[in-house]
Amino acid sequence: MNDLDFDIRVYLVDDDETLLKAISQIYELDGMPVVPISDPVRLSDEIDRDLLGVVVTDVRMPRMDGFKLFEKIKSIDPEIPVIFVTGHADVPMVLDTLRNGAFDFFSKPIDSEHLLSSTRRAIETRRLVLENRALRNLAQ
Amino acid sequence: MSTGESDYFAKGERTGKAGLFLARRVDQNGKPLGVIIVKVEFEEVTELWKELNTTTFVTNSDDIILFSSDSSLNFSTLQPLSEAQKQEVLETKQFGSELLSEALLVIGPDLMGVDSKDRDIQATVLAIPELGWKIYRTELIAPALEAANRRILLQLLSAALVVVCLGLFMISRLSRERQRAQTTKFLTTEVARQTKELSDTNKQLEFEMNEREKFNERFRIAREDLAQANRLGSIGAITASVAHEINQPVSAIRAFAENAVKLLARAETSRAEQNIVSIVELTTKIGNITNELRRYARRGTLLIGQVSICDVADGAELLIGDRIVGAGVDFTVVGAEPTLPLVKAGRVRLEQVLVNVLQNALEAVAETPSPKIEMRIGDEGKFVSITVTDNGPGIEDSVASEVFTPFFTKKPQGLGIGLGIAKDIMSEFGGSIELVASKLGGAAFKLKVQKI
Repeated sequence: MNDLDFDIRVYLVDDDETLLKAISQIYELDGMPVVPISDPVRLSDEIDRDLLGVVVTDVRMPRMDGFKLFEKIKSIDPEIPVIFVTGHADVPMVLDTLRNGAFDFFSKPIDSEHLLSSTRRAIETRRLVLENRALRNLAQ
Repeated sequence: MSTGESDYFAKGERTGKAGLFLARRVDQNGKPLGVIIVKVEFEEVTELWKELNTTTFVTNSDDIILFSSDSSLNFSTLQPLSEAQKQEVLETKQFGSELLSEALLVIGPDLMGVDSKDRDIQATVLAIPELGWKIYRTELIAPALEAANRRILLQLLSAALVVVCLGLFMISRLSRERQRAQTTKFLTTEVARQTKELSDTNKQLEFEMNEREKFNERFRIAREDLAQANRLGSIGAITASVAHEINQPVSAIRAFAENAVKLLARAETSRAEQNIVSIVELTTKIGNITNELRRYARRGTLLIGQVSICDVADGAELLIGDRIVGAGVDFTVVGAEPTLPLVKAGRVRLEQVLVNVLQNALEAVAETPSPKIEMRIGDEGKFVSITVTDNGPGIEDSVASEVFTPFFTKKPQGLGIGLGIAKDIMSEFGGSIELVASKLGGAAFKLKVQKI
Protein backbone atom coordinates (compact mmCIF):
# COMPACT_ATOMS: atom_id res chain seq x y z
CA MET A 1 0.00 0.00 0.00
CA ASN A 2 2.82 2.33 -0.78
CA ASP A 3 0.61 4.07 -3.25
CA LEU A 4 -1.05 5.88 -0.42
CA ASP A 5 2.18 7.66 0.28
CA PHE A 6 1.68 9.59 -2.92
CA ASP A 7 -1.32 11.12 -1.31
CA ILE A 8 -3.52 10.67 -4.28
CA ARG A 9 -7.02 11.47 -3.14
CA VAL A 10 -10.48 10.58 -4.28
CA TYR A 11 -12.50 13.65 -5.32
CA LEU A 12 -16.04 12.46 -4.79
CA VAL A 13 -18.77 14.59 -6.38
CA ASP A 14 -22.45 14.13 -5.59
CA ASP A 15 -25.18 16.67 -4.93
CA ASP A 16 -26.88 14.23 -2.57
CA GLU A 17 -25.31 14.89 0.83
CA THR A 18 -26.33 11.55 2.32
CA LEU A 19 -24.96 9.52 -0.53
CA LEU A 20 -21.85 11.65 -0.48
CA LYS A 21 -21.39 10.77 3.15
CA ALA A 22 -22.09 7.07 2.59
CA ILE A 23 -19.66 6.68 -0.33
CA SER A 24 -17.03 8.76 1.41
CA GLN A 25 -17.26 6.29 4.26
CA ILE A 26 -16.50 3.42 1.84
CA TYR A 27 -13.19 5.04 0.92
CA GLU A 28 -12.52 6.16 4.42
CA LEU A 29 -12.91 2.65 5.81
CA ASP A 30 -10.53 1.41 3.14
CA GLY A 31 -7.99 4.01 4.16
CA MET A 32 -8.25 6.09 1.00
CA PRO A 33 -8.18 9.86 1.43
CA VAL A 34 -11.47 11.28 0.09
CA VAL A 35 -12.60 14.80 -0.65
CA PRO A 36 -16.40 14.98 -0.69
CA ILE A 37 -17.73 17.71 -2.98
CA SER A 38 -21.43 18.48 -3.42
CA ASP A 39 -20.97 21.23 -6.01
CA PRO A 40 -19.35 20.11 -9.30
CA VAL A 41 -18.71 23.71 -10.34
CA ARG A 42 -16.48 24.23 -7.33
CA LEU A 43 -14.33 21.24 -8.32
CA SER A 44 -14.06 22.29 -11.94
CA ASP A 45 -12.86 25.68 -10.75
CA GLU A 46 -10.23 24.26 -8.38
CA ILE A 47 -8.53 21.41 -10.26
CA ASP A 48 -5.39 21.78 -12.31
CA ARG A 49 -3.18 19.56 -14.46
CA ASP A 50 -1.19 18.38 -11.49
CA LEU A 51 -4.22 17.21 -9.50
CA LEU A 52 -3.19 14.56 -7.01
CA GLY A 53 -6.40 12.72 -7.30
CA VAL A 54 -9.04 10.88 -9.21
CA VAL A 55 -12.64 11.99 -9.71
CA VAL A 56 -15.67 9.90 -8.84
CA THR A 57 -18.79 11.73 -9.91
CA ASP A 58 -22.54 11.42 -10.11
CA VAL A 59 -24.05 12.13 -13.51
CA ARG A 60 -27.26 13.95 -12.72
CA MET A 61 -26.61 17.10 -10.78
CA PRO A 62 -27.89 20.67 -10.79
CA ARG A 63 -25.81 23.51 -12.16
CA MET A 64 -23.42 21.06 -13.91
CA ASP A 65 -23.99 17.43 -14.77
CA GLY A 66 -21.32 14.70 -14.70
CA PHE A 67 -20.65 14.80 -18.45
CA LYS A 68 -20.07 18.54 -18.47
CA LEU A 69 -17.74 18.15 -15.53
CA PHE A 70 -15.94 15.39 -17.43
CA GLU A 71 -15.47 17.67 -20.45
CA LYS A 72 -14.11 20.39 -18.18
CA ILE A 73 -11.67 17.96 -16.48
CA LYS A 74 -10.49 16.60 -19.84
CA SER A 75 -9.81 20.14 -20.97
CA ILE A 76 -7.62 20.65 -17.91
CA ASP A 77 -5.96 17.24 -17.91
CA PRO A 78 -7.25 14.33 -20.00
CA GLU A 79 -5.23 11.97 -17.84
CA ILE A 80 -7.25 12.52 -14.71
CA PRO A 81 -9.24 9.32 -14.25
CA VAL A 82 -12.96 9.97 -13.99
CA ILE A 83 -15.29 7.30 -12.65
CA PHE A 84 -19.03 7.76 -13.21
CA VAL A 85 -21.64 6.69 -10.76
CA THR A 86 -25.19 7.02 -11.95
CA GLY A 87 -28.68 6.02 -11.00
CA HIS A 88 -29.95 5.50 -14.51
CA ALA A 89 -27.41 4.24 -16.93
CA ASP A 90 -28.28 2.72 -20.25
CA VAL A 91 -25.87 0.79 -22.46
CA PRO A 92 -25.38 3.47 -25.19
CA MET A 93 -24.72 6.07 -22.52
CA VAL A 94 -22.14 3.87 -20.78
CA LEU A 95 -20.39 2.93 -24.02
CA ASP A 96 -20.36 6.54 -25.19
CA THR A 97 -18.86 7.69 -21.94
CA LEU A 98 -16.21 4.96 -21.90
CA ARG A 99 -15.26 5.70 -25.54
CA ASN A 100 -14.95 9.31 -24.50
CA GLY A 101 -12.22 8.29 -22.07
CA ALA A 102 -14.08 7.67 -18.81
CA PHE A 103 -12.18 5.35 -16.47
CA ASP A 104 -15.18 3.36 -15.29
CA PHE A 105 -18.94 3.44 -14.99
CA PHE A 106 -21.03 2.33 -12.02
CA SER A 107 -24.68 2.01 -11.59
CA LYS A 108 -26.31 2.80 -8.26
CA PRO A 109 -26.66 1.12 -5.86
CA ILE A 110 -22.94 0.51 -6.04
CA ASP A 111 -21.09 -2.61 -4.94
CA SER A 112 -18.53 -1.01 -2.66
CA GLU A 113 -15.82 -3.62 -3.32
CA HIS A 114 -16.11 -3.10 -7.07
CA LEU A 115 -15.99 0.64 -6.58
CA LEU A 116 -12.97 0.35 -4.31
CA SER A 117 -10.99 -1.88 -6.67
CA SER A 118 -11.82 0.33 -9.63
CA THR A 119 -10.88 3.45 -7.68
CA ARG A 120 -7.70 1.77 -6.57
CA ARG A 121 -6.79 1.13 -10.18
CA ALA A 122 -7.66 4.71 -11.03
CA ILE A 123 -5.44 5.98 -8.26
CA GLU A 124 -2.64 3.70 -9.44
CA THR A 125 -3.13 4.97 -12.96
CA ARG A 126 -3.06 8.57 -11.81
CA ARG A 127 0.03 7.84 -9.68
CA LEU A 128 1.78 6.35 -12.72
CA VAL A 129 0.81 9.28 -14.88
CA LEU A 130 2.10 11.77 -12.36
CA GLU A 131 5.24 9.68 -11.76
CA ASN A 132 5.79 9.44 -15.49
CA ARG A 133 5.43 13.18 -15.92
CA ALA A 134 7.77 13.83 -13.03
CA LEU A 135 10.39 11.45 -14.48
CA ARG A 136 10.00 13.05 -17.90
CA ASN A 137 10.50 16.45 -16.32
CA LEU A 138 13.64 15.18 -14.58
CA ALA A 139 14.96 13.73 -17.83
CA GLN A 140 14.57 17.05 -19.66
CA MET B 1 -192.27 28.13 25.26
CA SER B 2 -194.62 25.26 24.75
CA THR B 3 -192.19 23.16 22.72
CA GLY B 4 -189.22 24.21 24.70
CA GLU B 5 -187.20 25.17 21.65
CA SER B 6 -187.43 27.37 18.58
CA ASP B 7 -185.18 28.35 15.68
CA TYR B 8 -186.10 31.47 13.87
CA PHE B 9 -184.46 33.63 11.25
CA ALA B 10 -185.26 37.26 11.50
CA LYS B 11 -184.01 40.72 10.91
CA GLY B 12 -183.16 42.41 14.17
CA GLU B 13 -185.54 45.25 14.90
CA ARG B 14 -182.93 47.51 16.41
CA THR B 15 -179.74 46.41 14.62
CA GLY B 16 -181.41 45.84 11.23
CA LYS B 17 -179.11 42.88 10.90
CA ALA B 18 -180.55 39.56 9.99
CA GLY B 19 -179.71 36.53 12.02
CA LEU B 20 -180.80 33.11 13.17
CA PHE B 21 -182.24 33.19 16.63
CA LEU B 22 -181.85 29.88 18.46
CA ALA B 23 -184.04 29.73 21.57
CA ARG B 24 -184.06 26.97 24.19
CA ARG B 25 -186.16 26.69 27.33
CA VAL B 26 -184.22 25.91 30.48
CA ASP B 27 -186.15 23.63 32.84
CA GLN B 28 -185.52 22.76 36.48
CA ASN B 29 -187.48 20.02 38.17
CA GLY B 30 -189.89 19.92 35.25
CA LYS B 31 -190.61 23.60 35.57
CA PRO B 32 -189.38 26.11 33.05
CA LEU B 33 -186.82 28.53 34.50
CA GLY B 34 -186.32 30.69 31.44
CA VAL B 35 -185.11 30.85 27.83
CA ILE B 36 -181.62 31.18 26.37
CA ILE B 37 -181.58 32.85 22.99
CA VAL B 38 -178.55 32.85 20.75
CA LYS B 39 -178.39 34.95 17.60
CA VAL B 40 -176.17 33.69 14.81
CA GLU B 41 -175.22 36.20 12.18
CA PHE B 42 -174.00 35.09 8.75
CA GLU B 43 -172.03 38.15 7.67
CA GLU B 44 -168.72 36.42 7.91
CA VAL B 45 -169.97 33.45 5.90
CA THR B 46 -171.35 35.65 3.15
CA GLU B 47 -168.09 37.57 3.08
CA LEU B 48 -166.30 34.26 2.46
CA TRP B 49 -168.84 33.32 -0.21
CA LYS B 50 -168.17 36.58 -1.98
CA GLU B 51 -164.66 35.49 -2.57
CA LEU B 52 -165.88 32.53 -4.59
CA ASN B 53 -166.58 33.02 -8.23
CA THR B 54 -170.17 31.80 -7.73
CA THR B 55 -173.35 33.23 -6.22
CA THR B 56 -174.32 31.44 -3.09
CA PHE B 57 -177.42 32.02 -1.07
CA VAL B 58 -179.64 30.37 1.54
CA THR B 59 -183.42 30.14 1.35
CA ASN B 60 -185.98 29.24 4.01
CA SER B 61 -188.92 26.96 3.58
CA ASP B 62 -190.82 29.83 1.93
CA ASP B 63 -188.10 30.15 -0.71
CA ILE B 64 -187.23 33.55 0.70
CA ILE B 65 -183.53 34.29 0.31
CA LEU B 66 -182.28 34.86 3.82
CA PHE B 67 -178.71 35.81 3.11
CA SER B 68 -176.54 35.71 0.08
CA SER B 69 -173.10 36.39 -1.30
CA ASP B 70 -174.87 38.90 -3.46
CA SER B 71 -176.56 41.23 -0.90
CA SER B 72 -179.05 42.55 -3.51
CA LEU B 73 -180.70 39.14 -3.39
CA ASN B 74 -181.36 39.33 0.35
CA PHE B 75 -185.01 39.12 1.35
CA SER B 76 -186.18 38.49 -2.19
CA THR B 77 -188.20 35.45 -3.13
CA LEU B 78 -187.28 32.64 -5.48
CA GLN B 79 -190.97 31.81 -5.97
CA PRO B 80 -193.81 34.33 -5.83
CA LEU B 81 -195.35 34.25 -2.34
CA SER B 82 -198.95 33.30 -1.81
CA GLU B 83 -201.20 35.92 -0.18
CA ALA B 84 -201.28 34.01 3.06
CA GLN B 85 -197.51 33.81 3.07
CA LYS B 86 -197.26 37.56 2.36
CA GLN B 87 -199.63 38.25 5.28
CA GLU B 88 -197.65 36.10 7.65
CA VAL B 89 -194.37 37.78 6.73
CA LEU B 90 -195.90 41.17 7.25
CA GLU B 91 -197.48 40.24 10.56
CA THR B 92 -194.49 38.71 12.11
CA LYS B 93 -192.25 41.52 10.89
CA GLN B 94 -189.85 38.69 10.24
CA PHE B 95 -188.16 40.66 7.50
CA GLY B 96 -189.20 44.11 8.64
CA SER B 97 -192.09 46.03 7.36
CA GLU B 98 -191.11 45.97 3.69
CA LEU B 99 -192.81 43.93 1.07
CA LEU B 100 -190.64 41.17 -0.31
CA SER B 101 -189.77 41.47 -4.01
CA GLU B 102 -189.16 38.65 -6.35
CA ALA B 103 -185.58 37.62 -6.80
CA LEU B 104 -183.77 38.93 -9.84
CA LEU B 105 -182.61 35.42 -10.66
CA VAL B 106 -184.66 32.44 -11.65
CA ILE B 107 -183.91 28.85 -10.90
CA GLY B 108 -186.11 26.27 -12.49
CA PRO B 109 -187.08 22.86 -11.04
CA ASP B 110 -184.23 21.33 -13.14
CA LEU B 111 -181.89 23.71 -11.26
CA MET B 112 -181.10 25.51 -14.50
CA GLY B 113 -181.89 29.21 -14.68
CA VAL B 114 -180.80 32.72 -15.55
CA ASP B 115 -179.15 35.33 -13.38
CA SER B 116 -179.98 39.02 -13.13
CA LYS B 117 -177.99 39.65 -16.28
CA ASP B 118 -179.84 36.94 -18.25
CA ARG B 119 -176.85 34.63 -18.24
CA ASP B 120 -177.51 30.91 -18.10
CA ILE B 121 -176.78 29.52 -14.71
CA GLN B 122 -176.83 26.16 -13.10
CA ALA B 123 -177.49 25.68 -9.46
CA THR B 124 -176.55 23.04 -6.98
CA VAL B 125 -178.65 22.74 -3.86
CA LEU B 126 -177.84 21.48 -0.43
CA ALA B 127 -180.79 21.10 1.97
CA ILE B 128 -180.52 21.76 5.66
CA PRO B 129 -183.60 19.86 6.90
CA GLU B 130 -183.31 20.92 10.58
CA LEU B 131 -184.11 24.47 9.56
CA GLY B 132 -186.04 23.81 6.36
CA TRP B 133 -183.30 25.81 4.62
CA LYS B 134 -181.59 25.22 1.31
CA ILE B 135 -178.16 26.42 0.22
CA TYR B 136 -177.99 27.31 -3.40
CA ARG B 137 -174.82 27.70 -5.31
CA THR B 138 -175.23 29.05 -8.79
CA GLU B 139 -172.61 29.10 -11.48
CA LEU B 140 -172.57 30.62 -14.93
CA ILE B 141 -172.80 27.80 -17.39
CA ALA B 142 -170.40 29.25 -19.97
CA PRO B 143 -167.61 29.84 -17.54
CA ALA B 144 -168.45 26.51 -16.05
CA LEU B 145 -168.09 24.88 -19.42
CA GLU B 146 -165.04 26.87 -20.05
CA ALA B 147 -163.84 26.00 -16.68
CA ALA B 148 -164.74 22.38 -17.34
CA ASN B 149 -163.00 22.51 -20.66
CA ARG B 150 -160.16 24.31 -19.05
CA ARG B 151 -160.20 21.75 -16.32
CA ILE B 152 -160.16 18.95 -18.84
CA LEU B 153 -157.47 20.70 -20.76
CA LEU B 154 -155.69 21.36 -17.59
CA GLN B 155 -156.15 17.78 -16.56
CA LEU B 156 -155.02 16.66 -19.93
CA LEU B 157 -152.18 19.08 -19.73
CA SER B 158 -151.38 18.09 -16.22
CA ALA B 159 -151.73 14.45 -17.20
CA ALA B 160 -149.46 15.16 -20.09
CA LEU B 161 -147.32 17.11 -17.75
CA VAL B 162 -147.34 14.23 -15.35
CA VAL B 163 -146.49 11.90 -18.18
CA VAL B 164 -143.87 14.27 -19.36
CA CYS B 165 -142.68 14.75 -15.84
CA LEU B 166 -142.75 11.05 -15.26
CA GLY B 167 -141.00 10.58 -18.53
CA LEU B 168 -138.60 13.27 -17.70
CA PHE B 169 -138.25 11.88 -14.27
CA MET B 170 -137.72 8.45 -15.67
CA ILE B 171 -135.40 9.81 -18.26
CA SER B 172 -133.63 12.00 -15.80
CA ARG B 173 -133.58 9.15 -13.36
CA LEU B 174 -132.35 6.84 -16.01
CA SER B 175 -129.98 9.39 -17.38
CA ARG B 176 -129.09 10.36 -13.87
CA GLU B 177 -128.38 6.77 -13.12
CA ARG B 178 -126.63 6.41 -16.38
CA GLN B 179 -124.99 9.73 -15.75
CA ARG B 180 -124.11 8.70 -12.25
CA ALA B 181 -122.77 5.49 -13.59
CA GLN B 182 -121.02 7.40 -16.32
CA THR B 183 -119.82 9.99 -13.86
CA THR B 184 -118.63 7.29 -11.55
CA LYS B 185 -117.03 5.56 -14.46
CA PHE B 186 -115.61 8.85 -15.71
CA LEU B 187 -114.37 9.80 -12.28
CA THR B 188 -112.93 6.38 -11.77
CA THR B 189 -111.19 6.43 -15.11
CA GLU B 190 -110.23 10.06 -14.66
CA VAL B 191 -108.80 9.39 -11.22
CA ALA B 192 -107.08 6.34 -12.59
CA ARG B 193 -105.84 8.33 -15.57
CA GLN B 194 -104.61 11.20 -13.43
CA THR B 195 -103.11 8.83 -10.92
CA LYS B 196 -101.40 7.06 -13.75
CA GLU B 197 -100.36 10.39 -15.19
CA LEU B 198 -99.03 11.44 -11.82
CA SER B 199 -97.24 8.21 -11.25
CA ASP B 200 -95.98 8.37 -14.83
CA THR B 201 -94.75 11.89 -14.19
CA ASN B 202 -93.31 10.71 -10.96
CA LYS B 203 -91.63 7.81 -12.67
CA GLN B 204 -90.43 10.15 -15.39
CA LEU B 205 -89.05 12.52 -12.77
CA GLU B 206 -87.49 9.65 -10.90
CA PHE B 207 -86.07 8.38 -14.14
CA GLU B 208 -84.78 11.82 -15.04
CA MET B 209 -83.33 12.25 -11.58
CA ASN B 210 -81.67 8.89 -11.86
CA GLU B 211 -80.47 9.76 -15.33
CA ARG B 212 -79.18 13.07 -14.06
CA GLU B 213 -77.54 11.36 -11.14
CA LYS B 214 -76.05 8.80 -13.49
CA PHE B 215 -74.96 11.56 -15.83
CA ASN B 216 -73.37 13.52 -12.99
CA GLU B 217 -71.72 10.35 -11.81
CA ARG B 218 -70.52 9.60 -15.32
CA PHE B 219 -69.32 13.18 -15.63
CA ARG B 220 -67.46 12.94 -12.33
CA ILE B 221 -65.97 9.61 -13.34
CA ALA B 222 -65.06 10.92 -16.78
CA ARG B 223 -63.44 13.98 -15.28
CA GLU B 224 -61.55 11.91 -12.75
CA ASP B 225 -60.61 9.49 -15.55
CA LEU B 226 -59.22 12.37 -17.51
CA ALA B 227 -57.37 13.70 -14.48
CA GLN B 228 -56.20 10.16 -13.81
CA ALA B 229 -55.04 9.75 -17.40
CA ASN B 230 -53.25 13.04 -17.13
CA ARG B 231 -51.59 11.96 -13.90
CA LEU B 232 -50.62 8.59 -15.31
CA GLY B 233 -49.35 10.39 -18.41
CA SER B 234 -47.23 12.65 -16.29
CA ILE B 235 -46.09 9.65 -14.27
CA GLY B 236 -44.26 8.50 -17.37
CA ALA B 237 -42.41 11.75 -17.31
CA ILE B 238 -41.80 11.74 -13.60
CA THR B 239 -40.78 8.07 -13.37
CA ALA B 240 -37.13 8.80 -14.15
CA SER B 241 -37.22 11.56 -11.60
CA VAL B 242 -38.83 9.37 -8.96
CA ALA B 243 -36.52 6.44 -9.78
CA HIS B 244 -33.59 8.72 -9.19
CA GLU B 245 -35.13 9.98 -5.98
CA ILE B 246 -35.47 6.41 -4.76
CA ASN B 247 -32.16 5.20 -6.12
CA GLN B 248 -30.20 7.80 -4.18
CA PRO B 249 -31.25 6.62 -0.71
CA VAL B 250 -31.10 2.97 -1.80
CA SER B 251 -27.49 3.51 -2.87
CA ALA B 252 -26.74 5.24 0.40
CA ILE B 253 -28.37 2.43 2.35
CA ARG B 254 -26.30 -0.15 0.56
CA ALA B 255 -23.10 1.79 1.24
CA PHE B 256 -23.98 2.33 4.88
CA ALA B 257 -24.92 -1.33 5.31
CA GLU B 258 -21.69 -2.67 3.71
CA ASN B 259 -19.70 -0.20 5.75
CA ALA B 260 -21.52 -1.24 8.90
CA VAL B 261 -20.42 -4.83 8.32
CA LYS B 262 -16.83 -3.69 8.08
CA LEU B 263 -17.20 -1.47 11.15
CA LEU B 264 -18.65 -4.35 13.14
CA ALA B 265 -15.76 -6.56 12.03
CA ARG B 266 -13.47 -3.93 13.42
CA ALA B 267 -15.59 -3.72 16.55
CA GLU B 268 -16.37 -0.08 15.87
CA THR B 269 -19.88 -0.63 17.11
CA SER B 270 -20.82 2.98 17.75
CA ARG B 271 -20.01 3.95 14.15
CA ALA B 272 -21.81 0.86 12.92
CA GLU B 273 -24.80 1.90 14.98
CA GLN B 274 -24.62 5.36 13.43
CA ASN B 275 -24.78 3.77 10.01
CA ILE B 276 -27.79 1.70 10.96
CA VAL B 277 -29.59 4.81 12.25
CA SER B 278 -28.85 6.47 8.90
CA ILE B 279 -30.26 3.43 7.11
CA VAL B 280 -33.50 3.65 9.09
CA GLU B 281 -33.82 7.31 8.22
CA LEU B 282 -33.25 6.56 4.57
CA THR B 283 -35.90 3.86 4.46
CA THR B 284 -38.36 6.41 5.83
CA LYS B 285 -37.40 8.73 3.02
CA ILE B 286 -37.98 5.98 0.47
CA GLY B 287 -41.33 5.23 2.07
CA ASN B 288 -42.33 8.87 1.65
CA ILE B 289 -41.41 8.82 -2.00
CA THR B 290 -43.27 5.62 -2.79
CA ASN B 291 -46.28 6.90 -0.85
CA GLU B 292 -46.16 10.11 -2.81
CA LEU B 293 -46.05 8.20 -6.04
CA ARG B 294 -48.81 5.81 -5.03
CA ARG B 295 -51.00 8.68 -3.89
CA TYR B 296 -50.35 10.46 -7.14
CA ALA B 297 -51.07 7.46 -9.35
CA ARG B 298 -54.07 6.22 -7.41
CA ARG B 299 -57.57 7.12 -8.53
CA GLY B 300 -58.03 10.11 -6.31
CA THR B 301 -60.88 10.86 -4.03
CA LEU B 302 -62.77 14.02 -4.86
CA LEU B 303 -62.59 15.24 -1.31
CA ILE B 304 -61.44 18.74 -0.57
CA GLY B 305 -59.71 19.18 2.74
CA GLN B 306 -57.11 21.20 4.54
CA VAL B 307 -53.77 21.09 2.82
CA SER B 308 -50.37 22.51 3.63
CA ILE B 309 -49.09 24.33 0.58
CA CYS B 310 -45.51 23.47 1.57
CA ASP B 311 -46.34 19.75 1.58
CA VAL B 312 -47.75 20.13 -1.91
CA ALA B 313 -44.71 22.04 -3.11
CA ASP B 314 -42.41 19.43 -1.52
CA GLY B 315 -44.41 16.62 -3.11
CA ALA B 316 -44.25 18.20 -6.55
CA GLU B 317 -40.58 18.85 -6.12
CA LEU B 318 -40.04 15.26 -5.09
CA LEU B 319 -41.89 14.03 -8.16
CA ILE B 320 -40.40 16.27 -10.79
CA GLY B 321 -37.68 18.33 -9.10
CA ASP B 322 -34.93 15.90 -9.89
CA ARG B 323 -35.91 15.79 -13.51
CA ILE B 324 -35.74 19.58 -13.65
CA VAL B 325 -32.40 19.66 -11.87
CA GLY B 326 -31.14 16.74 -13.94
CA ALA B 327 -31.94 18.67 -17.09
CA GLY B 328 -29.51 21.28 -15.91
CA VAL B 329 -32.14 23.80 -15.01
CA ASP B 330 -31.47 26.33 -12.29
CA PHE B 331 -34.44 25.47 -10.13
CA THR B 332 -35.27 27.60 -7.11
CA VAL B 333 -38.06 27.39 -4.61
CA VAL B 334 -38.92 30.59 -2.76
CA GLY B 335 -41.24 31.28 0.18
CA ALA B 336 -41.98 27.72 1.30
CA GLU B 337 -42.56 28.77 4.90
CA PRO B 338 -44.11 26.08 7.12
CA THR B 339 -45.97 28.89 8.92
CA LEU B 340 -48.21 29.54 5.89
CA PRO B 341 -51.89 28.89 6.62
CA LEU B 342 -53.54 25.72 5.37
CA VAL B 343 -55.51 25.94 2.14
CA LYS B 344 -58.74 24.46 0.81
CA ALA B 345 -57.75 21.80 -1.73
CA GLY B 346 -57.28 18.13 -2.47
CA ARG B 347 -53.62 17.38 -1.96
CA VAL B 348 -53.03 15.02 -4.89
CA ARG B 349 -54.96 17.13 -7.36
CA LEU B 350 -53.23 20.34 -6.34
CA GLU B 351 -49.92 18.54 -6.60
CA GLN B 352 -50.98 17.28 -10.01
CA VAL B 353 -51.65 20.82 -11.18
CA LEU B 354 -48.28 21.93 -9.87
CA VAL B 355 -46.50 18.99 -11.52
CA ASN B 356 -48.27 19.84 -14.78
CA VAL B 357 -47.21 23.45 -14.60
CA LEU B 358 -43.63 22.56 -13.62
CA GLN B 359 -43.47 20.01 -16.43
CA ASN B 360 -44.65 22.63 -18.91
CA ALA B 361 -42.00 25.02 -17.60
CA LEU B 362 -39.35 22.34 -17.96
CA GLU B 363 -40.39 21.65 -21.54
CA ALA B 364 -40.47 25.37 -22.24
CA VAL B 365 -36.84 25.89 -21.19
CA ALA B 366 -35.52 22.85 -23.11
CA GLU B 367 -33.87 25.06 -25.73
CA THR B 368 -32.97 27.94 -23.43
CA PRO B 369 -29.20 28.44 -22.89
CA SER B 370 -29.27 29.04 -19.12
CA PRO B 371 -32.60 27.56 -18.17
CA LYS B 372 -34.22 28.84 -15.02
CA ILE B 373 -37.41 27.84 -13.24
CA GLU B 374 -38.66 29.47 -10.10
CA MET B 375 -41.44 28.22 -7.86
CA ARG B 376 -42.55 31.04 -5.56
CA ILE B 377 -45.08 30.64 -2.78
CA GLY B 378 -46.79 33.81 -1.58
CA ASP B 379 -49.38 34.93 0.93
CA GLU B 380 -52.07 36.97 -0.82
CA GLY B 381 -54.77 37.95 1.65
CA LYS B 382 -57.51 35.36 1.37
CA PHE B 383 -55.35 33.21 -0.87
CA VAL B 384 -52.03 31.47 -0.94
CA SER B 385 -50.40 31.46 -4.35
CA ILE B 386 -47.78 29.40 -6.09
CA THR B 387 -46.23 31.02 -9.12
CA VAL B 388 -44.11 28.99 -11.50
CA THR B 389 -41.94 31.19 -13.67
CA ASP B 390 -39.56 30.14 -16.44
CA ASN B 391 -37.23 31.88 -18.83
CA GLY B 392 -38.33 29.97 -21.89
CA PRO B 393 -39.79 31.51 -25.06
CA GLY B 394 -43.03 32.41 -23.25
CA ILE B 395 -46.56 32.26 -24.56
CA GLU B 396 -47.62 34.48 -27.45
CA ASP B 397 -50.32 37.01 -26.61
CA SER B 398 -52.43 35.70 -29.49
CA VAL B 399 -52.83 32.30 -27.86
CA ALA B 400 -52.69 33.40 -24.22
CA SER B 401 -56.46 33.20 -23.88
CA GLU B 402 -56.60 29.70 -25.32
CA VAL B 403 -54.04 27.89 -23.18
CA PHE B 404 -56.71 26.64 -20.75
CA THR B 405 -58.99 25.45 -23.53
CA PRO B 406 -59.11 21.67 -23.76
CA PHE B 407 -57.22 20.18 -26.72
CA PHE B 408 -55.32 23.38 -27.30
CA THR B 409 -51.62 22.63 -27.54
CA LYS B 410 -48.46 23.94 -29.10
CA LYS B 411 -46.50 20.84 -28.26
CA PRO B 412 -45.93 18.34 -31.08
CA GLN B 413 -46.83 15.41 -28.83
CA GLY B 414 -49.15 17.23 -26.49
CA LEU B 415 -52.81 16.36 -26.02
CA GLY B 416 -53.78 19.78 -24.82
CA ILE B 417 -55.57 18.55 -21.75
CA GLY B 418 -53.06 19.40 -19.03
CA LEU B 419 -53.97 23.02 -18.40
CA GLY B 420 -57.66 22.37 -19.09
CA ILE B 421 -57.65 19.81 -16.30
CA ALA B 422 -55.57 22.14 -14.16
CA LYS B 423 -58.17 24.89 -14.52
CA ASP B 424 -60.97 22.43 -13.82
CA ILE B 425 -59.25 21.21 -10.66
CA MET B 426 -58.45 24.70 -9.42
CA SER B 427 -62.03 25.89 -9.84
CA GLU B 428 -63.23 22.83 -7.92
CA PHE B 429 -61.16 24.12 -4.99
CA GLY B 430 -62.61 27.59 -5.40
CA GLY B 431 -59.19 28.67 -6.56
CA SER B 432 -57.76 29.67 -9.91
CA ILE B 433 -54.92 29.29 -12.35
CA GLU B 434 -53.90 32.14 -14.59
CA LEU B 435 -51.21 33.24 -16.93
CA VAL B 436 -49.29 36.18 -15.45
CA ALA B 437 -46.36 38.32 -16.48
CA SER B 438 -43.02 36.52 -16.13
CA LYS B 439 -40.17 38.36 -14.49
CA LEU B 440 -37.75 35.85 -16.03
CA GLY B 441 -38.88 36.66 -19.55
CA GLY B 442 -40.69 33.42 -20.30
CA ALA B 443 -44.07 32.22 -19.08
CA ALA B 444 -45.52 32.37 -15.58
CA PHE B 445 -48.53 30.54 -14.19
CA LYS B 446 -50.07 31.57 -10.90
CA LEU B 447 -52.11 29.08 -8.89
CA LYS B 448 -54.32 30.52 -6.16
CA VAL B 449 -56.04 28.54 -3.44
CA GLN B 450 -58.25 29.78 -0.61
CA LYS B 451 -57.01 29.85 2.94
CA ILE B 452 -59.08 27.82 5.38
